[in-house]
Amino acid sequence: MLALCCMSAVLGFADEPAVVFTPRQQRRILQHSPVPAVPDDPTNDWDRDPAAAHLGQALFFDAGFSRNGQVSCATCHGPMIAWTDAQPLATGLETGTRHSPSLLNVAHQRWFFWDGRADTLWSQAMHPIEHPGEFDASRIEYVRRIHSDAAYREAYESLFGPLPPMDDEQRFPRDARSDSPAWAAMAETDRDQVNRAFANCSKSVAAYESRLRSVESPFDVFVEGLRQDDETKLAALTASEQRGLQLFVDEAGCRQCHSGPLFSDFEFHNIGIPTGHGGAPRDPGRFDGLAHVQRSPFSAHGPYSDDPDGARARRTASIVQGQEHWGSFKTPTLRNIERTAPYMHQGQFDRLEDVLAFYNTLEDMQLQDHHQEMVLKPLELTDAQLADLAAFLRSLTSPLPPKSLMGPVDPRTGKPPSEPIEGP
Amino acid sequence: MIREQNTMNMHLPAIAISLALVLGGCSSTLDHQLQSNDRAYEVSWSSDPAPIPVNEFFTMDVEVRRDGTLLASGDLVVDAAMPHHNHGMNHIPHIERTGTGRWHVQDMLFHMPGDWELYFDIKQDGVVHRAQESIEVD
Ligand code: HEC
Ligand code: HEC
Repeated sequence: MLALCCMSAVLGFADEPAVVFTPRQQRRILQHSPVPAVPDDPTNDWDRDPAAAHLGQALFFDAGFSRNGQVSCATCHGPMIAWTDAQPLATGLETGTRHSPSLLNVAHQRWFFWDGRADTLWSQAMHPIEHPGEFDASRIEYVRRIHSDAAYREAYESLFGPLPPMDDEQRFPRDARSDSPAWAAMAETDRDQVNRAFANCSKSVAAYESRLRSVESPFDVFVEGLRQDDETKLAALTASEQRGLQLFVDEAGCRQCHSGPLFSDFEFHNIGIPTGHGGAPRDPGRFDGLAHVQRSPFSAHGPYSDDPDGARARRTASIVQGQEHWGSFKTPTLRNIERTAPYMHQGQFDRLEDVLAFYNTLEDMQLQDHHQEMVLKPLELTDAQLADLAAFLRSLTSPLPPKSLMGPVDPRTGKPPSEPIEGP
Repeated sequence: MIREQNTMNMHLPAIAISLALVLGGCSSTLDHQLQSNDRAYEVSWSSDPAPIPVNEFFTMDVEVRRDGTLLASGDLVVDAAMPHHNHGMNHIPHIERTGTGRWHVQDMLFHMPGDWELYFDIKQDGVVHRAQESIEVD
């Protein structure tokens, strides 16, 4: 440790020139690893509950909630491709306007969606259900299906207590979408019951998603080596990867936004990438997202939050609204980046090399106006340096979460549905 | 007489300390000290955690004095920006008066590494007096 603080570390291989990290670079590198435990979510009392995670996993992989019976969360967040879909733009019932992000390590985020229009993981999970291009379903039919399916009902009621009497179709009319007159005509207490059951299911989905951790990459072994002055662990990164790391934390300025153990500040920036549709940007990004999150009845300060007066709620209420948020999007994590092509909010870039080429030249950058944040300058790196940077980014790949999290389960047990359920 | 004198001596330091506490003292125990741009006010502050980390929420304790005395009236607003980047903080900090001339600030977040300007706007009798300090977080 003393050696680490007082002199530069010399790390190299017999056949390649050694990489020398300054004390400042070393201090910065240590900020990127290890990934801490998943943060507690006080707005969700069930975020650590294994039974809730089982119910959530069953819901995640179930296409029966969508209007055509073919779309589940896993359609766009497929476990075999790092919980994303390898498509530029997501397709459920229709093709949307944004790219599906990976859900690996998602519970570390501060805001959800590219525009941060959800402030909790559980409230995020409610959106796809009613989105016309995704499930195109309604919360009332969602809750009715939980009620009419014996396994779901048992799992749900043992966690959250009785479901509303969904078979009473006078009180809970069929297909009463939340934007329809039929929904508006329902008793307020009945709407509240449906909302609450819908929120509870979503809290279970969040409990499942919190388990999607993937945090032990060669880079993390290297950082351990740096902390412990352990040669074997330091060898986890090649000389090229180490040179890329050095660029990342210093000259290339990437850590200005891709900071901390998740390589994301979890905040929003407009980096001016050319649009997927060509021409000027049309997507307001964070500018709309923050207005939405403050209005939503399902946000951290709303009646369905388990901590409506906590810090999370206060921070949602206190976001600064400014013109500079127009066209800005959340900084994505760079962990497992090798697995999650294509890149950016519209999947504009197919390969990491394309992303780096943009940062290197800022060619075709879409500038807004004088309100924009000004951080990026063309990097003007050599081809060899770009190759080092790409090599470093590929060293952020970790083993995927266990197989047991990769497919449908029985909501009561968390075991694959085919396995017999043990009696009481 | 002698005995009484002794008692007096024994109590003097204690009295001095309580007086200092009651009057707010003329100097602060907080880590940072600065003056408003018009030199009329002294601002002292400390952060938790200290030093201010990159992209982690932190809180601040702030004291404001005029002529060495904690302010009995007036308001304080704390804000920060990255002038080179053309942006401020993403949250409006939550500021609470905790006593005469003392405030507690929550939800401060320097979301990017680099040079920040920390602003203290002291409003008294309709006039705003600004104190500011440059902070590098890395
Ligand atoms: C049709 C494809 C599709 C389906 C189905 C879908 N998602 Fe997504 N998901 C996306 C897209 C696209 C985004 C980004 C959208 C945006 O930012 O506006 C996203 C964003 C997310 C995020 C936010 C991640 C982040 O880093 O901010 C989470 C969490 C998530 N989805 C979970 C789910 C869950 C849970 C379900 C099922 C209830 C689901 N998704 C269904 C495409 C889909
Ligand atoms: C000003 C903040 C900022 C800086 C500096 C920055 N990035 Fe980014 N990065 C972002 C944002 C924001 C996005 C998403 C932009 C979008 O989709 O509109 C992004 C996207 C990416 C992506 C695609 C991730 C994905 O999952 O789609 C990669 C890879 C990436 N950046 C790497 C880097 C590297 C390497 C550097 C340094 C050369 C860097 N970034 C510098 C903010 C930044």
